[in-house]
Amino acid sequence: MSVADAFEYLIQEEENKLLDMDQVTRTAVERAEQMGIFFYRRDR
Amino acid sequence: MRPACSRGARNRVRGRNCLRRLGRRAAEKYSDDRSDRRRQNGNRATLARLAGCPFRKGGSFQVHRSRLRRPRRESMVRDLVETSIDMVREESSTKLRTAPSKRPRNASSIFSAAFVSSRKGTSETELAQTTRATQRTREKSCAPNFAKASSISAWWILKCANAPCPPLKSSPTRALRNGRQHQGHAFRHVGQQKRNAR
Repeated sequence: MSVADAFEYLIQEEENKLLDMDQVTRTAVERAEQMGIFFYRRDR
Repeated sequence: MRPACSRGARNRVRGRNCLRRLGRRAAEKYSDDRSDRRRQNGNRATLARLAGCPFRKGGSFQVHRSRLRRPRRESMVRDLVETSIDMVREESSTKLRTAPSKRPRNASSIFSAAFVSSRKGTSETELAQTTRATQRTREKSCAPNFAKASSISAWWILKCANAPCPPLKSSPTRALRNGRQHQGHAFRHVGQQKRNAR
């Protein structure tokens, strides 16, 4: 692994440590509930 | 008796049947624009690019008798939530990366932080001493500039405070009240001279 790649990898790792995944999931579910749209066509 | 009608004439008949036939033809013509054709819906991608919004291509198809039947609703909702989680995660990480509190203030703070982190093995008192010494050095380096800036600002304040501020003899409201024409600052001396001459 090159130094640049390692730097990116380390930053990602630290970010994952700082992120609260429970909070992220809660926000995502709430947004999907409130603003999510999907198109569904029922074939006969 | 029903009149004989050729196939072409029947196709030209306007009505519900005709519309249905046209629709079917259009679907056959643009078969790649149908929701049940995976990886062939070229128009959808273009529309999403135009709208500038996140767009997830259709997935979660149910296979029935070795044929693609239709997307399952549960899977679609699951896909939607997964996409949403990805988006929120990306947003949060962007916020973290661009947070001003995480950014180092200047080069000296970077070096001091690196120095402190490199000496993690030492005792706490030594670390505290090092940090204090770094802060003192930073203060010393900033002190002359600060003194200069503060002296300049003090000089300006004193100058403004001691500067003679001539009383405003004529104001628009006062002139209106007294029924006279307002004399501005530029003509104040002229007005005084005239008044003195009177």
